[in-house]
Amino acid sequence: MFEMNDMTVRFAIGEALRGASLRVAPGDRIGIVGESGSGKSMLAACLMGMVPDAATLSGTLTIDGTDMTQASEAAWQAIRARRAAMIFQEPMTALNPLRRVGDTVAEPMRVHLGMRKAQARDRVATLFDEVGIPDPAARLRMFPHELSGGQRQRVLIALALACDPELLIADEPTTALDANVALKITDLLVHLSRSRNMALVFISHDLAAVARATTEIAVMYGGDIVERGPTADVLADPVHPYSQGLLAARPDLRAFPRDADGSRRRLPTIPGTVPPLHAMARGCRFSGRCPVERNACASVKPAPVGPRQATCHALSRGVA
Amino acid sequence: MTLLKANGLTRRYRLPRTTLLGAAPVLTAVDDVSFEIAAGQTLGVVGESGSGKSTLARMVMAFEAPDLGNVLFEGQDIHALRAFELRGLRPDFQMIFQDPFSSLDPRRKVGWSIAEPLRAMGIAAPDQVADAFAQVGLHPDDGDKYPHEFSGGQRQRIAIARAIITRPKLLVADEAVSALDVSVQAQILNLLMDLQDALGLGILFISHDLAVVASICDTVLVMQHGKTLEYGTAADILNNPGHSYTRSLLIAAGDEV
Repeated sequence: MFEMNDMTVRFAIGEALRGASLRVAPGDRIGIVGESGSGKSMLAACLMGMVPDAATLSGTLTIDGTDMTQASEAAWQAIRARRAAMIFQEPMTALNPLRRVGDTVAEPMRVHLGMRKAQARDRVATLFDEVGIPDPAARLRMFPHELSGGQRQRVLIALALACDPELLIADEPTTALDANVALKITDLLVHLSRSRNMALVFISHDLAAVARATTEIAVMYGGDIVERGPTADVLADPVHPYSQGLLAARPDLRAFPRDADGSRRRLPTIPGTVPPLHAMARGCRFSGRCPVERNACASVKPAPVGPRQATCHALSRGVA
Repeated sequence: MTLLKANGLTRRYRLPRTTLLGAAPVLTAVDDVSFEIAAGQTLGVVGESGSGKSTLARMVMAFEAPDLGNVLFEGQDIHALRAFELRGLRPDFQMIFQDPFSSLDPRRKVGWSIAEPLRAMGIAAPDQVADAFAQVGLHPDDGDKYPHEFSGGQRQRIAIARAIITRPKLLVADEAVSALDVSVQAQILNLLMDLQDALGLGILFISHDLAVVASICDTVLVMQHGKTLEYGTAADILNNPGHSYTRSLLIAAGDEV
């Protein structure tokens, strides 16, 4: 069980994460949704102990009750070796082009599990089979350039699974892939989470992929978790003005967007752009772009309210 | 009125030889593809990477010539034109690209970059630069800034300003909103629709996201392995996909059927 409480990551220019709390239990599938600069990757970095040295942290992070807030790098290495693993967006750059993919995937088993070469190779073949790579014995002798993007992402998933982690963080795992390949990778991650009782934290700006992959969702904006809840509920009925704006802006396939005279409907948009970190409001970070904003919003940080723990003054006033 | 007509476009690439004496293998990147774009209309081209979408765009832009077939722009075969004739026609069809970070010169002020097509035509028209800025929703003073001072969405606006500054009749957009966040993507799609309605642009819109295509396109061409899988009105293809591949794209775009 990974438990983050009121975590704040502060840089000289501003706070990249403000009081984020997240509990991840075995088998959970949690989606983190937000646009560039929302702090979703910083949240992942906290869970992996990979926050840049330049940042100061406050808040607590415990893993199975052990406080990791002051943990040494060695202690974090032990966590990253055996218990938490991560996959990234770019399957093209994440593999060493000069090594056979089988050797790359075997490395953590040999280093962390003390396996011998032949033993590790057998296990790589088993893992390749588990992640849906056909003909594993031949594929593990290949170099990354001989594999397609989807196959490479499968290799990286196998690499992440090498030491049977309890938590897999997937940071934009499908963004660089073709639509139908992305679909298969998403389904594979769900399958692995179920069959291994492994927690999955799925970070993406692709709402369709998150809807498919997760049961719980946290929406982030400007370093705040602005709303959270069951994935289907949040997507169907968002309560925070930012979540509402984000979901409305997504083109809708089902409601073919034409007016009666055949003219195209414009998409609802959120006015303005995400301000840079140093220019973020001290209070609600969505202030300046929010349709229900009032004077106090920019200066007072809203407390989470209601079952969705939405951080919005209008919701605490009972307006929106 | 038909603005652009492509007839039986085919493009083959010779691959590196695999054996010493054998013939070099040939990849058919685009195989007998035909379509039309009317003024003020948008054709969406959908397919996975390697399906030939970008090769198609390059032939429409006359960056490369087809092995078979032709591209008629207002009835003229653009690949049969001589170099200077083609140059004279270029202001009429312009292109925007996926990555707004690499498609602008980082060492030039953006005002200089968006006036580049005009200079290529031999015109200096500061008014047109200011107009183009206004049309894409940027401040006229923004011309004195460098690309790094803008966000991704603003940079895509700049790229669009550069494309429309020659008052083109056809715009080719290759994954123009794919790299943008959802809320920014909505702003850029709205901008393209507004410009299209105001200027009567024909748009060739390449995308892998059927939800995006649904919001902006009138007709849709689905490609796989260089071939046409489906071609028809957007309503037809999205409501009654005739091919399992199109259905898989619909599911990827969030349709649970």
